[in-house]
Amino acid sequence: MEHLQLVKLILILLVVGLVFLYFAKIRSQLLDSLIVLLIAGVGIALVILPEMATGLAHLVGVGRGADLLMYISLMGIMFLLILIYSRLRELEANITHLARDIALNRAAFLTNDRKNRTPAAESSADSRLSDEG
Amino acid sequence: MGNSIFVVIPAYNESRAIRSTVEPLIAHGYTVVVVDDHSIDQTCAVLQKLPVYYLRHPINLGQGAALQTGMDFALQQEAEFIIHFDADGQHQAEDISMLMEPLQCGQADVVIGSRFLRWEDRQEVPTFRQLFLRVAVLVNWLITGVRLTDAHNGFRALTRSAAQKIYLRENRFAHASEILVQIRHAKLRYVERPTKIVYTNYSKAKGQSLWNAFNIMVDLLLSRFIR
Repeated sequence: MEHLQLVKLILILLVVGLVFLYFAKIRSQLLDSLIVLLIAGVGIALVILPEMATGLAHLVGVGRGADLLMYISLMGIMFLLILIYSRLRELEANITHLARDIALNRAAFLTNDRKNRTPAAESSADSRLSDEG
Repeated sequence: MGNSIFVVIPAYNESRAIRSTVEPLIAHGYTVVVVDDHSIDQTCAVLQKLPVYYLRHPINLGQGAALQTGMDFALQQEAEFIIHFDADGQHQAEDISMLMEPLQCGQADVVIGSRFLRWEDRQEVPTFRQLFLRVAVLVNWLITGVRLTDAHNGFRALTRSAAQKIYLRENRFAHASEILVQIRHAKLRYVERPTKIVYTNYSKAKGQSLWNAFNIMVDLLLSRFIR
């Protein structure tokens, strides 16, 4: 029993490590989609052929099909969560770039003196003027 | 000389303190860049007619993002040196010259302020905060590999070339640790200098909570592993 627990622990660490490695190094758009499709495919197959889960479970030494299903879904959910997290970060980085560009373009020197305004603020003011004209 | 030193101040709803923070900086002859992180108070109005550069994020992004915007702007304006400065009035304009010294002598590329180098500065820090900062110093050391005496001190001075090598991706407060990681990766020379921090009720209320520190750690760890 002790042995089995240790093996499980190592397996779990291996899976976690692999997922992080994937997200840190190997990631590609194509692989992302393939893994999502694979997860969906396994899900559909198990719905159509529930007894397959039991067979598979016995094969890998898990007692019941439902247990195997739970393990697989947990891994799938974990993968999707990290995928969404990293997409969110990308999205945030893009929005940050946009917002930063807008802020830089509208930079102003806070005096009434028009001569003292920055070239950047000047040109954006000019482009707004020409847009209206 | 002073006007090639750009003081970048990220400000979010700082209308109560920002003017008194900015005025001494102008008096010292520094070029001031206020980056308004989409404040919903009078931050812009209280700055009117002061000779400062004013940038405003069209949406709220966080302190790290505001610092990066300010650094981008300062570099565009040919800044020779860039100072990071808090808007809430806890940093002193007089201390900037001391932070600038190692940069001007060419001894360092980045100078970071510390509350724990002088006995009299340490006395100013509330006891609970001291304990909290001690832990933060250790955590920072573990995560970033840079060992300092203070953590999350927003008072820094950078040379132009150092600022060009740094790009903050952490929009929120994790930028303070992220900047250390980048200093190490870019092999920039850094030193600490003592700074006086004035704790007012206002700045204390604005400071970091314990819960926030936890968020910062999670942000940092996740960002190191997931791109």
